[in-house]
Amino acid sequence: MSEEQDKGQKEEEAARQVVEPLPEQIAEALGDRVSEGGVLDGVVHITVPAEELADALRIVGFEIENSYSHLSDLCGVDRADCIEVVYHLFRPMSDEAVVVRVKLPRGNPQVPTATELWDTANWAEREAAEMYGVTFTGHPDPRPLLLPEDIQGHPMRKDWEYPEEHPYLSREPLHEDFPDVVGRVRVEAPPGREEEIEE
Amino acid sequence: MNTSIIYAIGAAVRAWSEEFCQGHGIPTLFVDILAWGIGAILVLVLALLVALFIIWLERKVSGYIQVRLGPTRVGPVGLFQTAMDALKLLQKEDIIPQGADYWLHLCGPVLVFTSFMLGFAVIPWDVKATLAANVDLNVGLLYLLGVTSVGVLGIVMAGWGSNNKWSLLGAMRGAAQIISYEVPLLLALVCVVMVAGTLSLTRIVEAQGPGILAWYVFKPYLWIPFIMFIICGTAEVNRTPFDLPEAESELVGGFHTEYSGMKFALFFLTEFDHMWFVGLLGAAVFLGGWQSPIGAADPIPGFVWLMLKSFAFVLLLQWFRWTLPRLRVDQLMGLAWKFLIPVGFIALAIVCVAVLFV
Amino acid sequence: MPVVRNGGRRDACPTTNSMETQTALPTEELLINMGPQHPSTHGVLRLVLTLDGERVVEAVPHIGYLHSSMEKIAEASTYQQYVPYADRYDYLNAMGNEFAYVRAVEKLCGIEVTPRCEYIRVIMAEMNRIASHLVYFGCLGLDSGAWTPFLYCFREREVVLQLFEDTSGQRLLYHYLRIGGLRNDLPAHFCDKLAEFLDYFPDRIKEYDDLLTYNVIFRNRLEGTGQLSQELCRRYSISGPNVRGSGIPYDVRRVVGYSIYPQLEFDIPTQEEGDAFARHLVRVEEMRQSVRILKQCLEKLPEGEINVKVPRKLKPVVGEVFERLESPRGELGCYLVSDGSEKPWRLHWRAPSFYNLQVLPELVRGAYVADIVIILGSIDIVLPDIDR
Repeated sequence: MSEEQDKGQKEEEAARQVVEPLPEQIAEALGDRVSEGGVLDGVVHITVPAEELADALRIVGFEIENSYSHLSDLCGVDRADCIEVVYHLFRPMSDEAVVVRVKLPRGNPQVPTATELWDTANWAEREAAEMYGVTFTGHPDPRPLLLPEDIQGHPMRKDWEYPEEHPYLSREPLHEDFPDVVGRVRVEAPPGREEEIEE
Repeated sequence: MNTSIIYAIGAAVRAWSEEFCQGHGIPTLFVDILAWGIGAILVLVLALLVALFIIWLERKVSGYIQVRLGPTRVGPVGLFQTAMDALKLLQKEDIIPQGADYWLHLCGPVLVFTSFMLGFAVIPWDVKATLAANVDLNVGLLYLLGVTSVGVLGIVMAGWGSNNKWSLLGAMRGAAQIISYEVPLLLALVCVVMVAGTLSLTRIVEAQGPGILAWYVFKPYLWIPFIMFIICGTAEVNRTPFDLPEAESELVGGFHTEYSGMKFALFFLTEFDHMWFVGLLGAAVFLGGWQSPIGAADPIPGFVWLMLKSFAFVLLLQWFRWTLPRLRVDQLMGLAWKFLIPVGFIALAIVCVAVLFV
Repeated sequence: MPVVRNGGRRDACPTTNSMETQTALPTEELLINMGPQHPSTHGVLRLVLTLDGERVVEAVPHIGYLHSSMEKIAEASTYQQYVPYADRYDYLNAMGNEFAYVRAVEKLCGIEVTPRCEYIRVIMAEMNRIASHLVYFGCLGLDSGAWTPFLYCFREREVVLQLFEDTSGQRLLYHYLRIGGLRNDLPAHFCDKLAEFLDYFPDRIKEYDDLLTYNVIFRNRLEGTGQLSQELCRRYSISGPNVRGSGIPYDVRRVVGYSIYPQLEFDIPTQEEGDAFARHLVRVEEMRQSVRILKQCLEKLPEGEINVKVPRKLKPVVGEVFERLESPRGELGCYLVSDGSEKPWRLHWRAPSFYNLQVLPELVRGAYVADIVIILGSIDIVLPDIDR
């Protein structure tokens, strides 16, 4: 890629990053609960602290006029310096969106649950909890959802490492031509975990 | 027609053996026992062969309805496919699940199979040709309903003995369904008994001849019982739309979920033989049994007519199965108790009036 | 140990309740596993059922048997490498998944595709919708005990799959859409074959309806089963034909108006009742609407290039995008976060089945065992879409 093109692309990139201020209606309703906020490509982005999240979701989702009451998606994102939980809210029957996000420390991320507002947050929160280690306080059913009970750590985190000793899978390559691709099924159990294989 | 080929052969063999026994000083009771034994074995073999044939027919009919071919490879038009399947099932390992009640698990299919095989004893195959020809049971219909309803015990035993909750649910459904539908079935048959004035199946068949118009199905006051008989017969055989005890999409396999090998084959054969059995009963009671449609001058043996009529029933049941969805359990019970039984009593009243005044 | 049932959930089971007061027999609730090996859980869904006779007291779904770390794989593969993985979530809607993914990447990179490409993409997505609804129709028939409709549906699905095979070389997982275009143009006979199919397909839909939809037993089974109120729809973010069966005309094709859908004429079929039969009718009507869309697409299909130039090393700007479109099962979302490298930083699927399935315990409470199968079939889930 030539330098000129590179430069052009960077300018374009800068143009795309332009953030407009929050719409008045949301800014007023939320007040100082918002730590960051803006409109990017027509989508309202709001970042709130964890302790304000429940209020912010309730206000944006139900209390303001023409509220954004359709919770389309809820997921976790590992931002390297923090763990984020992202809520994609839409106005019903429209494409107008609010993205509410909450930044959490990697050590002990905790947010209040959204299951009281939307039942559908139940499984999505369980998934985010097991994948990113986020604790959703007040969640009615905090069991793991997709992963086995005995998994170590939270696999969607960027610093998650393949466990050294796995009861079923070894670190041997699957195929001799591809030494990087490991995970052949164990024939013998690692020491001390024989019973698990028996089961 | 006062006699039939089957009767003639039987009588000739019997006369010869009685002569033989008398000549050698053997008591003739021995001949009786031997005759019953041979007759029973003949009927058993016939029933098994017919079951194999019906399974093949089922596959072909379903193939025809579903725009596909069905079996084509084994034998001409796949005719030996089911025989091969039966051989395969014979070789299969007999698995008894952990925690199952061994004896109940074993007795379930045996009881189901035996109970309905007993019913064949009173089926009039041809003129003077029931299995127990010289003991023509004068309460044949009652006996037949009695022994076949013992089969439900086998289903419950199989469901309970399997130590599987799906089997248990299937068995409960089976028990409820078969007992419920026995009542309207009985009402339908009682109508016929009133018209014929006898409980003996042979007499009922004899009362419907000669000629097609003498069949009970052509008597307007027996139309309702006839339709009731078809519905209840389908329910008795546990076939769609009444296949709840083994509803595959709900209960995995119902009461026979945990069966494999020959025990499963017994259930399977019984199910298909039962269809034929219902066909035979329906033919005897409503379609004139072995009576020929054109009257006594017909050279075709009555046995052939009986087979044709019973297979017409079988085809009808197969047509049902491949067309209709399944009822839900409350709808099934509702149909029996809230609709069929009241209708049965009304039909009975109509028949009473008809018998008195027509 | 026999336990007399306490009155905890009595209101849900009026029939058993009255039975109980009459006989006062000690009864026990039956705990039973439906799945993961069960013929009608549409894959490896496991429901732990608490039964009271034939009535469901409680149903707890357990998922995750097909979890395959697809979102983690996305973080380890480049943008182009990931397209075939997108097929494998909702295998009945492989084209639609690819469509969502490539649209998300294109939006992130600012790529505009050619008009012909857009048309072909919509044709593929709608054909896939027909194929998916045919599977739904046949499977609901199987669930209700009717075997034959399944075979009839697959007869027509075969035609659609054959067209897919002619186009992409594959029958289920196509890998046909590429970032910035398509793998190849349509084969020469495609439009004629498709037009021929579209001509006779509405008659075939009528045939299925005559065989199954208007069968009195089938209607009795479905009507009033699995009542989904509008309130439940909102609380559970239900989407797709399920929400339209409850009278809410929510269709992402209309609401977002992505791709060329604003230029096409089609209706959003809705039903007011909200039961399984309403959802069934909506899906059947949607097949007819898809035929309508496809006919318009074939008429308007422009000539021209199908691909735009896309750098081999695709590095989108730092940012994120949430792209929604309408899959046969509902609102399919693809949330893509880029850190400026050639691999996605985070990819998350808003899987419609995942959100729709959550309402199941509410729908089956107090229903019969046989109704579970019908309700599950009428929600129309695909398990890999749930587990990802």
